[in-house]
Amino acid sequence: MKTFRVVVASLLALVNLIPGVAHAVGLGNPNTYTFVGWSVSTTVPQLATCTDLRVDATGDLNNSTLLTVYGVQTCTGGAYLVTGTAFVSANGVFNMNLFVGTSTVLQCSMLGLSGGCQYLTTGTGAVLGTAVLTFK
Amino acid sequence: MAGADASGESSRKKLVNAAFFIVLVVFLGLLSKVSGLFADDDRGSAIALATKPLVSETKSTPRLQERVKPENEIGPPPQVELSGVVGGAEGQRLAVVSVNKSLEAVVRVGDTIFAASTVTEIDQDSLTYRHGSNLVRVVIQDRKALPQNKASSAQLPNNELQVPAKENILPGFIANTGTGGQQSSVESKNGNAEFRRAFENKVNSLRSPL
Repeated sequence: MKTFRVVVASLLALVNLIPGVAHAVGLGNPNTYTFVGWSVSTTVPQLATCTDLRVDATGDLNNSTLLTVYGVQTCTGGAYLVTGTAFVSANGVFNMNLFVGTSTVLQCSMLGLSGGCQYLTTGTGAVLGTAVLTFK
Repeated sequence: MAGADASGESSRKKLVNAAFFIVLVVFLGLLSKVSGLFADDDRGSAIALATKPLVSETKSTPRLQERVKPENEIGPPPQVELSGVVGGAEGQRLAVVSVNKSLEAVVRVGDTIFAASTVTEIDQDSLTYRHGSNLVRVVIQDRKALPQNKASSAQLPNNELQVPAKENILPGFIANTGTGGQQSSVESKNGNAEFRRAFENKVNSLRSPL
């Protein structure tokens, strides 16, 4: 019985040494998915030529539903830097919010990886126009 | 009496062993949950425990390996225009260059100006860079006369170099980015296939009962 207690106590001590276990937090092992791309078609006049959205997405989809997303929306004559967050819902929806440039947000809730989004201004939240993202 | 003690002792030992076994199984289960050894499709498989790598995906490592490409795959040399050579604060020569018609940058010997191109020499009227195994020398270009009116961008022959008018862009627009983050000729693949797989696996795991 004494031996049993010693063994159990040792195992419990070992378990507590594993990082994160003592705090009931999962260990993350993020991956980066590079050059993930969409074709963009939008009603926003200023973004009419910005037809390519290319991002890297970083996160641990094994242990989490969250991703950091960052990249570029390319237009004729230039581009906008984009940065934001995405998460995967159990209903199969890919939700993504991206800051585009310095005062515009691209907000997407797409069933699968293609679908409808909208551009909003960050100041008032007014809708600038809609967009369709097509996963390449 | 002695026989009864002996059988009692034997039963205690069996109980201890059984308890130890149960604790060991619980511990291994906890360990596997923490380290993510069990993927969704391998749930409950003891063989997966033995063979699954600790890192569930190493997608970023192959990506790193893809960048080490043989010389014949590094693509053509960039189009470099040398606007001038100036002296730096430490007495070194600095060259003002435009690579592939992008905005000018100041470079010094040893700087990488594009993908596989590195500056090897700067003298008073030229710049030499190495692209793969080739050395390319560029001399100072004659300065173009600045256009007199505001619509100077419209005079450029290549439509892709036209910077949109202010009312046609949103705040944060970065002009003349060249490829603007699009894939270079070196990286012809995108990450969509792998991302789609990861996304679908995640949706399936969220929908599956625990």
